[in-house]
Amino acid sequence: MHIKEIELNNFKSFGRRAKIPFFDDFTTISGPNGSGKSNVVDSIVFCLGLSNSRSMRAEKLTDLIYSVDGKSSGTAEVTIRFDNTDRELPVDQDEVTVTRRIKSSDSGYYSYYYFNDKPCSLSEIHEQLLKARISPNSYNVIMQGDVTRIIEVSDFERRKIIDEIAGTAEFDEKTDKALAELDIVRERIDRVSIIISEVEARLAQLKSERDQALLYKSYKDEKARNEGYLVLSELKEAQQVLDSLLEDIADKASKRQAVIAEAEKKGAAVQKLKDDIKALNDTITEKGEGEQLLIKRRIEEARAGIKACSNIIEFSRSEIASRESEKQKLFLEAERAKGQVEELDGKIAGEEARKLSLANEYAFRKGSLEEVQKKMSAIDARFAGVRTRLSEVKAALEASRNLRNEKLREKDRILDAARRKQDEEQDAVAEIASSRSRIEEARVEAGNIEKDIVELQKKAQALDADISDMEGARSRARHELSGIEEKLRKLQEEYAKAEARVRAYEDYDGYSEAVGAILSARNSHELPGIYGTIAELGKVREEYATALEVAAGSRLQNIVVDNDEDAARCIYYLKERRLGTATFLPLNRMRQRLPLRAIREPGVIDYAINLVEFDSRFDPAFWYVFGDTLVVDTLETARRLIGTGRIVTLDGDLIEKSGAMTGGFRSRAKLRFKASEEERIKALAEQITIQESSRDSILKKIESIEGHIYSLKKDRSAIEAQASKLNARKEELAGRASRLEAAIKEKEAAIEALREERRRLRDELIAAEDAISSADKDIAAVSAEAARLEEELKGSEMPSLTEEAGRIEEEMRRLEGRIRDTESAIAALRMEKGYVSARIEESRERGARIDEDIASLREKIAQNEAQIHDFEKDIEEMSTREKEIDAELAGMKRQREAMSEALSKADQDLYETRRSLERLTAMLNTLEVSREECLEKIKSLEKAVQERGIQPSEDVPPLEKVKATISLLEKKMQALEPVNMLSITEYDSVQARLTELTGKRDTLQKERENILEKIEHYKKMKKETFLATFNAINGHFKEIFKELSDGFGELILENPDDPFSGGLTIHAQPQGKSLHRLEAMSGGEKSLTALAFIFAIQRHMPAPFYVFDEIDMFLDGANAERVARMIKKLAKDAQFIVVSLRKPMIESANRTIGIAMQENNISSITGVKLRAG
Amino acid sequence: EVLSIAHKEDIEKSILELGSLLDREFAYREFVMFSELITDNTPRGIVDVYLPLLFLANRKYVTLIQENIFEDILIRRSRQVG
Repeated sequence: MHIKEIELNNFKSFGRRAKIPFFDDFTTISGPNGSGKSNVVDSIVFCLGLSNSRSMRAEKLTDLIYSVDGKSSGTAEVTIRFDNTDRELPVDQDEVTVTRRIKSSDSGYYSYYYFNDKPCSLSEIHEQLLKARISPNSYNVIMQGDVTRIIEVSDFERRKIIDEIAGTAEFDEKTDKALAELDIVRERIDRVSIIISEVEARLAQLKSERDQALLYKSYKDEKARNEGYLVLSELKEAQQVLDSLLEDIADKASKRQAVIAEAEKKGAAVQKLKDDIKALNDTITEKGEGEQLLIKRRIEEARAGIKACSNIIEFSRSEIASRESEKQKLFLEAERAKGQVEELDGKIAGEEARKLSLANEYAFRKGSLEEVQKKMSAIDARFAGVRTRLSEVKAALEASRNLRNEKLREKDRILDAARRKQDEEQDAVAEIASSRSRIEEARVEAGNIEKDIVELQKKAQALDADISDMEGARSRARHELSGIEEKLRKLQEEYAKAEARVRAYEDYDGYSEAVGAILSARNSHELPGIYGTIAELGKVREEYATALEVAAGSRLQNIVVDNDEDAARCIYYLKERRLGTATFLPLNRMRQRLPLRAIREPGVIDYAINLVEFDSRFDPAFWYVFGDTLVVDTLETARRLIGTGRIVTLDGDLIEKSGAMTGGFRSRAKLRFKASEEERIKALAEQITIQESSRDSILKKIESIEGHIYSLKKDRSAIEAQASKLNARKEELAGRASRLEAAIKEKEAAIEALREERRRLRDELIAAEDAISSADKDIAAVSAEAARLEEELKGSEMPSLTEEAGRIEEEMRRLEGRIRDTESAIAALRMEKGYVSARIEESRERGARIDEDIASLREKIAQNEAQIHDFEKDIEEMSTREKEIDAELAGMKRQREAMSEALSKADQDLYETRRSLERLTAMLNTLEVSREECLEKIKSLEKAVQERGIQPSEDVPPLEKVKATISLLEKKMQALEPVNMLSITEYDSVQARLTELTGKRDTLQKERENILEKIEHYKKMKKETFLATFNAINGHFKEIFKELSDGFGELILENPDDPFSGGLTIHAQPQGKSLHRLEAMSGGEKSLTALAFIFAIQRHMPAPFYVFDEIDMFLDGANAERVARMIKKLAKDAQFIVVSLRKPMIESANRTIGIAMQENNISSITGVKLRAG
Repeated sequence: EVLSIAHKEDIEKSILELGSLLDREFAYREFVMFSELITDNTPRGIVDVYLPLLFLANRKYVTLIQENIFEDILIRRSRQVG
């Protein structure tokens, strides 16, 4: 890829649109200073946005817009066209353009980039260019200042050039990130450690409580076990009771079995007796009350039958006689009636003949009338029927049509309604589906939220635990702090007091004037050989101070001197000055200490001399002061020992060997052992320092704990806020779901209703259609009939026929009257004849009946006589049988009485047996209830025993021992009370928490190590990357430098082991010269070296084109030549655009472009081709 | 070597030389073509003429007109100097 053309428009000195063509070779741009030749380079930097690290030669974008006399068009533009035939830029185009335009407006200046005429951002341009190995850091555009910069910057900055090229910043960023992570982890470790120490403290506290609780529990268990033995003994007793019960039950059960068998046997016997008696009874009943009675009744019946038969016979005979007389009377009457009938028959025949002639005439008339009427009615009936039918048919037709129209309208209405309902139904179905899916969505989301909330709650709980632990730690620390502060306050007070006291000594307070004078003389070196007073030389412990001061008494201010001569000198000194007296203890003359008897008595502390610390050479002096004085604790102890020696108590009460006792309230003497005070001050100061440092550390700890608490609380409130937000969301979702559910239900009901409606409509529709088709049929039929009827209606011939009919009818009425008269006469005659005939018939019938009666009566008489004979025979038989039965019955009744007696005896016996069975059963039931109770008791006792950890099979230890053990355990338990039994579980949970926290800390520490490793790794990588780049560039540098100067040059790291702590310098040795550092070179050498450096960088990171702006400015002729040659050589592989005024450079190029500032200060462009190419 | 002479001093001298050469030409004609000025058609020969010419143009002594880049250049005396 290379630059094909640069188009400048209003850019700096290029006031007019100008295009500069370039080729993929070596082009120089030349022109006098101020012609604007460097503006071409600026335009490239401007257009490609390469000005990141190195500034362009214009301060502001406004200065880039061509202006003349302060007037400007307000816009400038540069377009660079790249030849991309080699597809170095991965864009499938032979030409790629980049354009940048700036515009000024009232509100400021705007910059626009275009890639292939499409607007884009600078970073997009960079992204594209980077693909073709062009970047702001790639050193392919070298400005005038770059060469001098390389020379002039510090070694450190120069090294950074390599940093930049190697891209070490990436590792720095990563390291920074890792460090930030490390901070967080460190903070977390800190926090966890605080919590762990708190939890450990709590655990320690809980442990003792728990141990006590466990001990208590073990006592309790032991007690329960022992109580179990008591229960066990109860159990054993119960088992014995059960055994005896079982035995008893078995015994009673077998007895009962026997009784049951007996009762059964007896029952069977009773039953048999009963059966026998019953059978006998049946026989007696059969014989006595059955047969005997029957026979008697039959005899009676037979006697009654005989009597009845005799009566019938007698009655029949009298009847026969009366019938005979009646028969004769009837015969006479019949003869008379026959004559009457003959007479009547004659009269009737006359009347009948007359009637017949009248009837014939009438029949004739009637025939003609019927003829006429038939004609009339035929005509009339026909036409009247047709008319009414026609009007009916027309009405029916109208009705059918109306019905049909109505049904059609109804059908339309139904169809419309059905369509509407269907639409509504579909809408409702769709709505239900969408509601369902929304419910599902809500459900899924709610589920997720639920999980999140649970997660958050867990976190919040963990945080709560952390916070409470932290707060515990804080309150503990505060408590500790207040303790320390209290101690500190006391120490400081004491320190102030002790200091004041020491100061007081220094003013010789408490010493006599003489002693004070001697001490001053010693301090001023006026007198030699003076060691000091006893008070000064001895060190005592505070608690013994009073006792020892009392023991020493006034000898406390005795002055120890080296020898008697010194003592004498001092005495003279006092005399001369009249300063009073003092006692001196010359070491060379004092008596040595005597061996002291060891005293082992309660209350005795030690000999006074042993409680004072002093230099051993002062031993004789202290022996003189204290002698064998004994220090004891109290006055009581001292009293016990009176007479054994000189004794002093800790309170300072003194008892002489003689028994003299001195004591009472003692204010602290002013004169004290100074050495002890000084020691004490030192110790106090030390303690104060210690306390202060521990106070500071606790304060710091509190502060850090508070920081942790604050951040934990912040975390927790953040979680709570999040949780409440999620909860609100969840509620909202639930509300939505229930709303949707309700909507679905509503819709479903609506659908159901709609379906129902549609079904109804469909039925209606079918009905309507049926109605329509039947109406159609009706209409067709009725229309046809109407047409036919209308055709039929025509004229008639009624009037003449009516008249004739009237005449005939009159005649007929007259005839009818006469016929009726005749008929009534005939009827009267016939009636009379009927009466007579009936009488005759009646008489004849009666006669016949009477004959029949007589015959039947005679037969009856015969029958009854035969029956009477039968009855008499029966009576005779029955009487015989009756006598037989009476004899049989008497025997049987006697037998029955005997059997009844036996039965009542057997019954009594059975009753007795059953009573005894009942008794046995009752006893057995009672026993079984007892057994159940006993078993129940055993079961519950066994359970109780097992609950106490004892097997029911175990033996019971002696109960007295058990009871004793229980009361002992109770006492032990009471001693332990109150016991926090909860501490056991609490201990476990705290222990678990501790384990968890420890694990957490371990994880964090591992994490910390990982981060540290990572940082180390980044450091190493950074160094490796840097060194790789450095070595590569250095190698190139050496080659290039040699080529350019025939000498030797190399890049030197100040600190090769840690390159980042040092700079980079360049050593060079041009041919025939000595080795110089960069700083020591001449200007030309510096330029050349810097150029070699730049070329080395370029070789390390090759770019498709290079732009140099007057890099040869400071080179001498020979070096300019060498550089030109190098560029010419390099131009075989890449495009070079070099701004130069140096002839060797210009001459080496293939072309040169000349820039000259012509009219209106516009740079003009011309070009000359120097070589074919 | 011969090449190692200082170019700067060289240029001022060649500007004056080219100026007087052009003066002579402009005495009798309106413009001169760049190719007419080239006596040594080597890169150095071309540059030796082209560079001073650019200086003269920049000093508004002449105006350079090139229809198509890298082709011949028309050199005309600048108006304000005329």
